[in-house]
Amino acid sequence: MIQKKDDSLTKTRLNRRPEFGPIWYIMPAIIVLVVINFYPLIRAINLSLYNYNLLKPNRIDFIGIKNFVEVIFNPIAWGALKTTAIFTFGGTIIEIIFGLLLALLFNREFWGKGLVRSLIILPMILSPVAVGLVWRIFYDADAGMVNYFFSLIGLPVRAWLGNITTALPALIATDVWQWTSFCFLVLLAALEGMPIEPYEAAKIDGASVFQSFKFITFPLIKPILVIIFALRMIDSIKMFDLVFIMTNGGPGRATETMNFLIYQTGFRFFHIGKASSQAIILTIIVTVVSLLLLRKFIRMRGAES
Amino acid sequence: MKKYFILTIILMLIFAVSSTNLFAAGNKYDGVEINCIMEPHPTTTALIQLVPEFEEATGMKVNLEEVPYEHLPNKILLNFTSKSSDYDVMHDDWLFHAYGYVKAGYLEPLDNYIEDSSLNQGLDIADFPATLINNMKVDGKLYGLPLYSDSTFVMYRKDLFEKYGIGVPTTMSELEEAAKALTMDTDNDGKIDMQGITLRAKRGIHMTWTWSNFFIAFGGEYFDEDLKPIINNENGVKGTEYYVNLVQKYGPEGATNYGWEENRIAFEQGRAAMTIDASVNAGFAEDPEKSTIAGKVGYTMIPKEKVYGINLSLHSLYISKFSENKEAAFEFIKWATSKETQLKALTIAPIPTSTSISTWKSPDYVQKYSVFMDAHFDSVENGNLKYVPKLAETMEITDTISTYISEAIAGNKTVQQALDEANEAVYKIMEDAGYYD
Repeated sequence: MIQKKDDSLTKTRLNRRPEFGPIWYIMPAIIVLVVINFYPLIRAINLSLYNYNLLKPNRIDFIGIKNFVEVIFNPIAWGALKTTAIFTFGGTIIEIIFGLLLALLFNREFWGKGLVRSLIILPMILSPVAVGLVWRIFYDADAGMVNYFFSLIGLPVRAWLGNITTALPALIATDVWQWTSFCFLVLLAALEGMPIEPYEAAKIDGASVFQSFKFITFPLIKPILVIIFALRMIDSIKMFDLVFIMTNGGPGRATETMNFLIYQTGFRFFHIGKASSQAIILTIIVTVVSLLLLRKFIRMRGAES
Repeated sequence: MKKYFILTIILMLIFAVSSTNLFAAGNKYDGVEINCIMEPHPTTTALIQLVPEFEEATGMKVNLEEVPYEHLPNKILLNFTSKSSDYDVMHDDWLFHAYGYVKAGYLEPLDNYIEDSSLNQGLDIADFPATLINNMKVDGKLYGLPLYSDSTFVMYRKDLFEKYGIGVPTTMSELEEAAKALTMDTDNDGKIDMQGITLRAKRGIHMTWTWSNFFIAFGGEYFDEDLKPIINNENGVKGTEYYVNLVQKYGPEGATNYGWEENRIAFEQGRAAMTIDASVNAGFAEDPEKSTIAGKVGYTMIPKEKVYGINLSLHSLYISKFSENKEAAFEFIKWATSKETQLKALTIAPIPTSTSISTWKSPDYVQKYSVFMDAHFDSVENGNLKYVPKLAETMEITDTISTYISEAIAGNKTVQQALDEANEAVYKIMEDAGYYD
């Protein structure tokens, strides 16, 4: 008798057969998305198997995976990946730390909170090209604001974008300036949505501010941190405008990121085949990294519930 | 009867209206519309203003589309690879891009139109500098008409040279001495605030433009007779070392990120005593509204070392092979580069880079540009278009070389090392492109 299933229970949401009717209504949207996303991808894979150069339309030969092999054994591509990694991780981690500090600071009521919050998100809504142009002027060795203010407060003054050691950090600083506000917004929303009870209990127990952060706040926002990390990482890996506008990949190869290398190969040197293979490799890397991160996030959420 | 009377009147009116059109000049192109993709440049600005006259005279409609220089080759190539007839006329750099288009079979040769007496009214090939025309002949056929061409020269601060008793440099070593002498601390605060010379050293096309003057002047060459790269031979290294030396020791700290604008502005704001750059800069330097040094600038040719290394740029108008209005397109490019149009353009925008010899001699040109005219003409006469290799892969080759030199300037490598590595990289590019099969 215990074995027999109750009919009413079998008709739970999990067991109910899916209806196919609604699919037809969203089919047009699906078709458009598939075409827009998959067709270029298939075409890119196709292009990457040829030695196609736009300036040599009569010399298009099928070379299979030769382009991919070349990228894997190319020290310049590895250098670009390394530069991309430094920019991505360096920028993202700094942005999250600053964003978190700002969010903790703002997680209280004070006069003008709304106004300040609106102003802080301004950098985020600016076009990356405009940001690149303005910051290029800021970093100018003779007339730039950065050097001017640094000289006033006694910090070292130099040609930030023209120096092979400071060029990449300078780009990271600009990226941090623009995107810290994104981390700040998301983290502030997370903090504001937290229950007060654990904090009150901790206060009664005599916990310090730092302790309540470490044992209450941090574990609760960990999933959010992971997601922001993943989002910023995916965005940073694709960064192009800052390099293109501010340094053109230089000095030397100091700011040559993978995305810039792809652009240069495909649109300056017109090796469309080679550029496609580089782009596919970058896509694979981004996909793998984001899947790893998001799996961790999903597992974390699952552990909670 | 009244009905027929009105009908007759109407028919007569129609006849009268259409017959006036028959007598209008050049209605041969009525209803024809051509699209031109142009660089953003003072010459284009002038053409946009002058083109209504041309449209009225010929009856055709001309659309001039300016595309930022970075995206120009992409858009043009996209047009070509799809064999589209969207654009009829292209405006682009001959050495870096258009030569590649010719080799790929994308441009229409102009010789038939030049020899066609129904089309060549008003065309005067002799009015263009011969160097430029000859360079645009591939396999005996001419592919473009020149629109503007810079030379490169030395611009120096006459007032500073006088104040510190420095003579105008006539050799490379004198140039270096002058740069050294004028790198100084003028307000005695312990920091050097005047540089001897400012030069472009930003990786890519900017460095290529400046560095190649010295590379060629010291006898450097890109390839030997078998098309194998020899940029790292003795002359090439000497020329590059000279350039790197100037940038490192006497150039502004930010020079490694100086493109055309930054370099021009650095000189105009008085931060350096000399600069070597395109002749178009002179027009800006002499503008009293924008430059702090107007009237204080002297101009002279880049000194000869083994040979003259004076870059001439060449930007011309070309006709697309896939255009459906090639004759109309030819009429347009003929008009746009004609001596009359180039002369009129002077009144609209600063164009010292005109390619019409008669315009150079005109009173208007002399009045506007007399200050640097002589230096410019001397440079044009001794200048050359050899500063980058004449190959479809020239962009890739010169960009790659500039990356290695950029590392040498940063001190990461010696110039010899940098050029050795660059040479290897260029060899690989040529090999991949199939030149050594």
